[in-house]
Amino acid sequence: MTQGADLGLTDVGDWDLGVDQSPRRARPGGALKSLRPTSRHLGAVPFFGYIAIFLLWPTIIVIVGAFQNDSGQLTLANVTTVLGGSTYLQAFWASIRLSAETALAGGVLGALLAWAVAEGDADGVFRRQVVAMSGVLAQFGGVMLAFAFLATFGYAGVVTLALQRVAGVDPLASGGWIYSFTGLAVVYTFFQIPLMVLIFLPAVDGLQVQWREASDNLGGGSWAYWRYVAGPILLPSFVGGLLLLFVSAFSAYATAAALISQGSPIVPLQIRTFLQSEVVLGRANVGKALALGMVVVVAVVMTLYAWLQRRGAKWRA
Amino acid sequence: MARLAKRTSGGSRRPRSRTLVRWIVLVGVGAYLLVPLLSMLDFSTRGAGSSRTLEAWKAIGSFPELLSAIAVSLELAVLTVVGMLCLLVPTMVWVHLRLPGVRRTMEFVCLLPLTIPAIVLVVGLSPVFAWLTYFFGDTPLVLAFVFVVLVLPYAYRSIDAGLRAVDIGTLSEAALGLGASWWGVLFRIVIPSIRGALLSAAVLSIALVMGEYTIASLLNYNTLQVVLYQVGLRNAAVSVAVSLAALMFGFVLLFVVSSAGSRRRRAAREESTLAPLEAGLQL
Amino acid sequence: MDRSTRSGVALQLVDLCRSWGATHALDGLSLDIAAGELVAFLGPSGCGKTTALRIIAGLDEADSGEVLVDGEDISRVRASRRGMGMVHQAYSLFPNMTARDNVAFGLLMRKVGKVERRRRAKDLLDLVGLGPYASRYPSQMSGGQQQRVALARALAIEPRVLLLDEPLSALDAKVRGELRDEIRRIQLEVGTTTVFVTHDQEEAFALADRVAVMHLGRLEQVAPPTEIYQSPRTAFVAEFVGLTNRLSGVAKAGMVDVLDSQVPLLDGSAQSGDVTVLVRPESIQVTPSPDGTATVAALSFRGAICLLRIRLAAGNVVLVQVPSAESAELALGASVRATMRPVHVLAVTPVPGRDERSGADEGSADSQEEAERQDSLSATGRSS
Repeated sequence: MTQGADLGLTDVGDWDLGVDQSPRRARPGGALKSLRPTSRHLGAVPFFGYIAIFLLWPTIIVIVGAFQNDSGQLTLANVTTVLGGSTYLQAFWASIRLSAETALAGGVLGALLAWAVAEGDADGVFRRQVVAMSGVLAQFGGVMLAFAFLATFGYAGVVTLALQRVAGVDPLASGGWIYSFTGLAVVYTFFQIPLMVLIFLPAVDGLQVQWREASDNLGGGSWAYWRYVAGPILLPSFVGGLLLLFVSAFSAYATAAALISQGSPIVPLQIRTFLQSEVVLGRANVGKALALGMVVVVAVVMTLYAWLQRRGAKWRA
Repeated sequence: MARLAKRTSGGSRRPRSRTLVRWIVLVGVGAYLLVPLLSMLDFSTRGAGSSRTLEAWKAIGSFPELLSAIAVSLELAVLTVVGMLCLLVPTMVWVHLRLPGVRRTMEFVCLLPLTIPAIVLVVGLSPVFAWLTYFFGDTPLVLAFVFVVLVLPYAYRSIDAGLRAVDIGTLSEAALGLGASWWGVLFRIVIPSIRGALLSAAVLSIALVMGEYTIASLLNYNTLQVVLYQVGLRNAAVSVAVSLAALMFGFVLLFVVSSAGSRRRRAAREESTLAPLEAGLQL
Repeated sequence: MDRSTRSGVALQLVDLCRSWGATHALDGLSLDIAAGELVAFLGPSGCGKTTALRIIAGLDEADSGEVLVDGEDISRVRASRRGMGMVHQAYSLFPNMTARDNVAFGLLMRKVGKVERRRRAKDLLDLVGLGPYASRYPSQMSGGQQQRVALARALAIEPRVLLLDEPLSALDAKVRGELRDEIRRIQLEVGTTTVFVTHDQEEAFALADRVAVMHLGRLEQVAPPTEIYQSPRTAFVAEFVGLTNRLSGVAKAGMVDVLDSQVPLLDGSAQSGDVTVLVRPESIQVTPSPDGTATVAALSFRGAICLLRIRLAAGNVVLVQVPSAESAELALGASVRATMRPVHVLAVTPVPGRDERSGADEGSADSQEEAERQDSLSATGRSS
């Protein structure tokens, strides 16, 4: 038959248009499933091959390299350097703290915004504007957000100048808070909120209006509705959203890199020094160990997320 | 106020307290998000004294490295979209129809780029890029190979939403029964049915590529974001202007795409772009 | 059905109006519902029946008019204070609670103690036949079971009025029939005043003490089911409920000449001149007759009855229903005589354009069109 050969991927010698001539092969699903297993799987090879080259290979290099010294021998020196070095541990702690705090702040505010948007017309202009804007702000890029942040809170920023002129207060008097942990937190929250809106909006959509009405009719007010019905229903999605926000902040590089050119308070910036500066002899692969550390943290959180997704809630269908 | 029309069944009125809370949230959180954008507008249009000027905007043209970087990023975006479509669509359709057991694995793999942050990936990319520059020369366009991987989570979710919305299985079987080849099924049946999802995936990919900084900067390629940062060190106003322009461009793009699907959806029961777009934008 | 033993309170709707922009959802709806009565609001979509229900429940506010419960005006009272139980068409139950917790929710709101809540919930679940399902979640129950639990939940608060918003529409046909009878049984047992909204005429007839037929926000007729069927007050009621043929006739002095017969007119009919007579298929008598002017155009055996399409001399086709016993000599193409059985009929002034088609003529193309029109007639009688 020519069909499969056109695709060029599989050997379809004994496949015929679903007219099942062999009594042995009467299976449900008919035509589409009657290829031999091996030839079918070849169809997925290009994709997984690509992934292997451009995703898995670099990752393996990082993971393996973390356990190698300059001459390629296996060693735990890099890992112990990271775990023993106070700067590194502080950077990890700062990264975790930053991610957790901005995840919480962005999560709560984003969830509120998602609720406010979901209350409106599902197909309306306003909602589409918000979704589009959220998509842009959440995904579009750290450097531009850094500039937005500087335009607002920097030395010549709108809010800074306004505070100076109107309230006589100079928020930058005691140094640049925008380049500190607080500054990072403020700008990270700026993309955490839209991200939470995107993640949480479908969950809020899932709240059927009949539940609110039933609760009303049975004598419950707003508080009762949220406490007994909507809250429990939304909780899994909310927590899942927080976890994703954490990962997003933890992995972020561009915004911090654009804001902070000197110093490396968080792990991604630490890795930057290993890629850009002269590497001290014998410590070439510490950067890889740091990267491995990041992968571990993220993997833990994502596993938690996956577990939460799969478990769902006991009342889920 | 029709566009802020309330979502209630049968058009009943919502209690005033709820509307109040809704407005407080919209204004409060909205301010947090809008103030920086407005600040960018203000910052980039400041003239001497307290006048407004479009000098920074006009000056964009006088930074040739900026213009060439925009071109490079656009080319990268196109290449990435093409690469993503060629890699994902046939595979996803094939898996959807013939290898349902592999779906889970594929879904997991497409979520991996989220678990392996770009900053981690770039650490291990040097050997890969050594090969790429060996084959293709020293062009920044080789970044497209990696960008395809970066956009996978969003593109996959978007296309998956599109495939689920339409019963590809039945349609394909019908087409095959009528004598179509696999390629015919792909191009004549499947792709037209998931147009909206493909568009969403493409738009999300473009947005991501235009905004990518981590890998490009650490591998020393001059894409838009990298050059934007460099220019910003010398002339903040110009960089802010370009950033604002890029953000607005992205917003218009996403908004138009979501509207295109929405209008059609109201008329006929075709698949929409809003649902796959929203699906793709969530992680 | 001894009304005097029923509990429940009287419900009065006084001149309710509700509109959105140019659309009048309700246009002066007034209705008195006696204590313990089950009234079905019947009508096509958009007729205002759901709007009326939601106004009674307090989920929506009328532009003008009052709702009186037991003589007291509750228009200003919040939904949560009205003491009314409601069952929605879909998504009625809280998905994160078991059946027991769902049923007990209203009691929880009223600060009833835990032991008492569990006891009441159990009693009500037993009442609806779902005692063993108390610990199940809605996702583990079928649609019919969920609606039963929703009913139990509504009854748990001992409502003064029970409101049912098309509770059976989302269910399978078989389940619908069983649940419908259940609902009626329970309602009679508990005796609560009930308003039941539906677009399905069969449901309304099976359940209700009285049926209120609504159209474009107005009450067309409210009467017991037999009266609605046999003595429709308006053309809309006659055509919405059951199947109807439109025939031309001449009215005079309380009688009308139609189909070579003279039959009495119902109240509300047009009294004189050329009229359109609304005739039910079972009200036409068909006798085989070699010199008859009508012919059998189509014949469909349905078991106990036979449905016939008879082409009259004028060319129009009418739908006739005869008991199968009488259909023995009726074959396709046979000549027959069509007359009226001695029933009361409703006559209305002819609507130009609408009735002209029944005078239009021959050819298979026309009988096709007529057949389609008759099909749409049967359709309006069934659903909307």
